[in-house]
Amino acid sequence: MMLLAPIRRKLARFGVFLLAVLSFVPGLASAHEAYVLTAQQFAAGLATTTPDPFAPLVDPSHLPIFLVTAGCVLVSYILVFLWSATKPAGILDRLVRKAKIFGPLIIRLAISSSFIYAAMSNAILGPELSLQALALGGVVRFLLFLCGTMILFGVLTEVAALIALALFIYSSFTFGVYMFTYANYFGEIIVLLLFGSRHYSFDRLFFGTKLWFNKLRRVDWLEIPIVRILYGVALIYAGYTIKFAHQILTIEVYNEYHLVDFFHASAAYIAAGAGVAEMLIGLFIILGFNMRWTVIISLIFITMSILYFRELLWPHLMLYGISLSLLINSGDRWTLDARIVPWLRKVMKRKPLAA
Amino acid sequence: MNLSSKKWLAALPLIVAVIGAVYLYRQADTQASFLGLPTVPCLDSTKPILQNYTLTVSISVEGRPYPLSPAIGHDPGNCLRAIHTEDGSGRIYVETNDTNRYTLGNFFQTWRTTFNQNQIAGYAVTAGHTLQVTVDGDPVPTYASTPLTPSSTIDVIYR
Repeated sequence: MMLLAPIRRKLARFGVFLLAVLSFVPGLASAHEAYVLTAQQFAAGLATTTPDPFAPLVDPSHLPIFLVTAGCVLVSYILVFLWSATKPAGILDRLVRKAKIFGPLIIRLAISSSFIYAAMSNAILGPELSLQALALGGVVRFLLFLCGTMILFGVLTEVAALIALALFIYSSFTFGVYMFTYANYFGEIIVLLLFGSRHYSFDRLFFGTKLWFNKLRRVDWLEIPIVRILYGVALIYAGYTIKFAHQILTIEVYNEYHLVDFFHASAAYIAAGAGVAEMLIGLFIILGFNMRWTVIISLIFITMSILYFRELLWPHLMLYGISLSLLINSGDRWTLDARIVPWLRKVMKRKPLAA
Repeated sequence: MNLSSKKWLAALPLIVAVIGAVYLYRQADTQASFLGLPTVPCLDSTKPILQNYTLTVSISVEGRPYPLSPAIGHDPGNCLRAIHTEDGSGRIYVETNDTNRYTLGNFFQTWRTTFNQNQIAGYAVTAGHTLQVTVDGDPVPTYASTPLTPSSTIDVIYR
């Protein structure tokens, strides 16, 4: 039964309010696996390059577990693709897309709360990027708070994004190519700079739907692809850096947290396997390949890590925000899904989905 | 309301945002919890223990004992930090896979509690309040940098 429009609007406003509140719930604590190491361990790990990180992947003793895992993943992707060509999947897709205007709003709330929590933790973007490593760290801290509050309420969003971009570039002079780990932030900052935020924001109240660079209106469909592609880049870089190039970081977490009791396999193999998974997820997101299922798998990994280590939640807010947005706005015209699903329907002799 | 009035009114939420940022900035300096990365590693069972000793830490706030958590350093996911407690008695266990010197600041960060020369937990050094650290009864000026040493007694006194 379709809800009446006024009730849907009220529910939508409540949903937005709830999202904003949940972004700030204290005591929600969790961690990314490398975030449970000390800063010294992190620095030492990044200074140590693993000589042959792919060796565990080609070790014949790991072949059975590889075949089982790869087989399960392959079967799941095939099944999900076949499902996506069905009528119920089409109906579900249209239902989910009704929330598409909330996608950019979710990411905006995620990035603003990430900035604020990072500043509270005396860090920028991630807890391992301490503001103490930056000259003028106190100024950067204040500007993070300012960007966070401006973006949260959608006040002169483009100006806040410009400040955030300057902070990102400034940090890269200290932290170098490691900033690729946070390419997802860069993507959202660019989107906010070019397209602002005209939903549930003060900017909408004062400027309407007019953009600061109004000619960009005709390319506002680029919002999701920019965020999607740079999120994929971040995942690939982080997967390669932490789990291959500097595998010692993942191995230290594996040993300190006694993960052998759970996985019953060598630390190096699990690290390499997790690295392959993370890089593949990044690649599939860039290509837009079975994107909803890929995002769901990534959310499962993130949530399991959070529940097990239970440290800091805020570094993962952006991951959740982007993931939710991609779940809603999946299959834009620059994805493989936009070509594969209609082709599958044709092959399965089904009628084309309604636009 | 004409367009130019609207644009002037747009300055109001900006002013509120700036005030909010200033408030958060000041709050961040005096928050009671430590929100950064851990500063003490978990014990790695694949490596030998190179340091193993105990010491005692006691905290008093305005003449009353401030209780220590009995599970300091017992982090989720099978992680036992190199500095930990086993009960609320104040006995601190230092068991490490390295030879690094750990400090009182490391202990409080493991406890996720703010401690520096101006603050302990939610208690700040304001007019009329002092914060002192003694080691075996002797005052020291090192606060969070005070090294943890075997069989010592460290008292943190806020009054």
